[in-house]
Amino acid sequence: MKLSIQNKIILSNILVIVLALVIIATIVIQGMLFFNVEQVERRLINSSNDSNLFIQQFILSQQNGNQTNIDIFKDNATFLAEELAKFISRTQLYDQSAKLLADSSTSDILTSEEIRDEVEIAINQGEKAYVITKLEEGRFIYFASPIIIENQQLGVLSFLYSLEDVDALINKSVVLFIIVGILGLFILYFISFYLSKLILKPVYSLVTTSKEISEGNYDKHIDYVSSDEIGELTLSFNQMVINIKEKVHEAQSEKQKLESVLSSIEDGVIAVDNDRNILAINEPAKKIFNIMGKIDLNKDIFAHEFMEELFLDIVKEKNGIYKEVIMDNKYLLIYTNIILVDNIEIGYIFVIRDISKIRELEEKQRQFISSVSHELRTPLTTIIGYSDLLERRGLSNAELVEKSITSIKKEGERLLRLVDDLLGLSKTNTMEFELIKSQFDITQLLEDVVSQMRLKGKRYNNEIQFTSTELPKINGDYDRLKQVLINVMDNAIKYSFPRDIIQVYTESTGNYVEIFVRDFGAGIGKNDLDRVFEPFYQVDKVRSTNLGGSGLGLAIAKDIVDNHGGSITIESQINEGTLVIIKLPVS
Amino acid sequence: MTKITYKVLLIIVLALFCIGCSNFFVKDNKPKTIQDNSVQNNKEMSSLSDVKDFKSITQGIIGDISSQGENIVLLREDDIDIDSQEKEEDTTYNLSLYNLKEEKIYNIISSPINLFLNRLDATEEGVYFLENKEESLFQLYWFSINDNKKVRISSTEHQVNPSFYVKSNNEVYYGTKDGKIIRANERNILRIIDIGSDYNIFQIYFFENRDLILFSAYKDQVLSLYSMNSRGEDFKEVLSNINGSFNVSKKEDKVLYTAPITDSNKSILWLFELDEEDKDIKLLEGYPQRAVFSPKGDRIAYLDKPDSNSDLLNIWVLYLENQEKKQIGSNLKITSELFWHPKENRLFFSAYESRDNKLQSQVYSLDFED
Repeated sequence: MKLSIQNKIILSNILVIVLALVIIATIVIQGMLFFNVEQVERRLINSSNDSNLFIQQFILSQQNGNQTNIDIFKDNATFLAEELAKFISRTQLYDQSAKLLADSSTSDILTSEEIRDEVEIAINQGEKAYVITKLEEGRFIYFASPIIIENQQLGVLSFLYSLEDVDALINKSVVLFIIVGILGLFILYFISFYLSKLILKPVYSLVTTSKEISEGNYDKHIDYVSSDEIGELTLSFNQMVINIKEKVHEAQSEKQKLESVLSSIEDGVIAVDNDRNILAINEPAKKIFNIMGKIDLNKDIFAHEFMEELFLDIVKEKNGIYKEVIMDNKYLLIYTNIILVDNIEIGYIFVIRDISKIRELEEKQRQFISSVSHELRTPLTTIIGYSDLLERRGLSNAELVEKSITSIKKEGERLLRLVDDLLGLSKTNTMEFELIKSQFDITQLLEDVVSQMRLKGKRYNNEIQFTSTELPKINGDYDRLKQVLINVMDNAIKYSFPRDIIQVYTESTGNYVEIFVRDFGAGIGKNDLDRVFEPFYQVDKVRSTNLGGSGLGLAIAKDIVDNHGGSITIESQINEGTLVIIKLPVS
Repeated sequence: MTKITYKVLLIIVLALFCIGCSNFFVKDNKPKTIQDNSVQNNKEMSSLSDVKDFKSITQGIIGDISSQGENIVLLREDDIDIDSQEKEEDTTYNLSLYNLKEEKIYNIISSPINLFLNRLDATEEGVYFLENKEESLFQLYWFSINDNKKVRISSTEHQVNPSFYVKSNNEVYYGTKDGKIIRANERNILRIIDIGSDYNIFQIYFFENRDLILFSAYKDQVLSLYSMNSRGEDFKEVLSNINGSFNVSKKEDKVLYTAPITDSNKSILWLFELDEEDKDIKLLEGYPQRAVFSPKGDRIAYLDKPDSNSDLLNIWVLYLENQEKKQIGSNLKITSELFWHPKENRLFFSAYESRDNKLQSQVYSLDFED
């Protein structure tokens, strides 16, 4: 049976009190027994001395010269016994042969005819003696004393003294002790209960507060001010809680810093211990593995076969491992290594870098180079072809010569434009592309460009309508933005049908200026719309090539607008035409 | 560990409980011999061998002994029937003189009136005595043995207390219930000293050499010892709250008195030295009474009860030099004061004795060795 500390205190108190009470009662009762008997003994001794003197003075008073002392004693034994019984108790007188001469009592308690021990001692040794005997009527002291008159022992005087009073006192004392003990125990129980509760109150508070602190509530403390041991304990406990709180805050702060540091890394970081329990994971890692909410490593991370293989490899190799994998159409480069703390392996770290864009860029570069090569090859092939023709056929065929020279010149100019455009594109992607900004009136620029493009539009029978509104000044590179507008309007002319109108108008929307270029040409399909800003991408390649396009115009325009902090978007539908919206921030 | 501790404690408790209920030190049915030396106090040793003789001299209550120890004055009355415990009507009180040498008794006065406190006068040719006509009313008389003449000493208007002192010139001091101490002789009242009506004079002694009256009196129910000169001057309280009678040594240098112990029925016997201030010597504690100096003043005889409830008395002798005590008489119904023989180691006293189914007061002589 488990006992609470309070019950243990109460039980201990009760046991101690009971033990003390029993010890005290034993000592008291045994003491009472001893001292009472001793008192009775003393009284009997004094009475025996008195009685001896009484017998002596009686015998002396009866002496008449004819009788000896023994004769007087024997003849008057009955009288003497009766008189002596008045002094103390029932009295018996014996002669020297232990014969009972007289007994003051008529009751017959003694049935034994044997000589009693104390009488025998008094007769034979001449000493006083007594025996305590327990009879049905109670305990008695049988006391015997020699009767000595004028140095002659005449007989023995015996007192039969009842210890009834002593026994009654002892019994009453025992009963009293028992009653007092039981009452005392009752009272003690309640007092002990109350006091132990009072004393243990701070301990219980300590227990409750400890539980709350273990659940993370570090603001709790115990209100118990005292100079006793529990007071010292609560003081130390409160200090400990403060220290723990500081340490926890420190640890949380460090953890937050670590998490912030990890989260600020673009790469995903996952750290696990030797038992595959998570040590750390940052947001990029969660994003890569599409983890929302609570993390289950086995389900979210190691369910991927490559991660499982990597884990097994690192556990085996104990050296850094790089691995490139494809997951959900993403290219991932994963680096894994062991985590050492004081040269002790505590887990493993996985750094995951999404290299999809790098791979995409590489693909684009490859495509760009392929496109450039193809674009360069085409005119070069024509130039080489016509050159070869002229070389073989000579200059005899004037028509052939003219045609060849015209084609070579045309392809050469086309090659030159292509090279210029390539250079322009490369500059926008490098440090060489520096905008020379100044504040200027965008309307003025538009009027300038529209005026210039109207000449080209006339050639293809396209009218450019320009509606100008009052616009705030913008801070930009005048020449670059002119290039943008020329490219956009050039495309509008290219993809418009003859006699189509091209509308140019503007809007001011607070912090931005919007320039709209609307044509009513063939339009661009949805599939092409996403790619029109890619270098060399041409919706209608044939048409674009015939009209002298390289496929870089919109790519260059987008780079320039992006560098001004603006945006260029295209809305289009097949056979409906196209709307290009250029948005530039206001100065 | 805790369970074992509790079990052990419980076993101890039970064992002690069992021991407590039985006699541990005092064994039943085992005889115990008592060594006399180990249990007896030397000072209280009962010297059984010291009593040489104890005998009944004559019937009566002894009142005085002559200065040479030849005669004793005693009062004799009719015998008391034990069965009826009542005196017969027409009781006669006989004031008698008993000659110890001749062992003869001589009647002096026979009176139907109760006679008390008989004392020989200074010449020992007369006897002073008190007559008790009515309850608590006494009158002091003097009787001339030779002339056979009875003279009333006290005035009838005096409420005489049963206590008087006979001077060496045969004058007598007696006291009254209303605080008067009267000096008189057989002819007339010589001087009345009025202390105050709130004093009830109990016992008187006159120091002739010091001209000092030492008397005990009740005031507000407290018995105290007072002193003054013969003219009633220098009145002062000597001792407060005493009980019983006091006794002055023959050399008149010491006084014996008893004083009660507060909240107890016991008393202390004190010795007061007159010439040394604040020197009261505690002699003994118990139930001492009627203590009396020996003629030489070196011993004291006194009575003591065997226990508080007893109506019997033991006779003790205390030696002032070493304060040793001896019991020389046991369980006696003593009815008189103790009287030392002027020259011998002998005490006289009266005690009741049942004889022929009658309770008689007998005068005893107790001879003992020193």
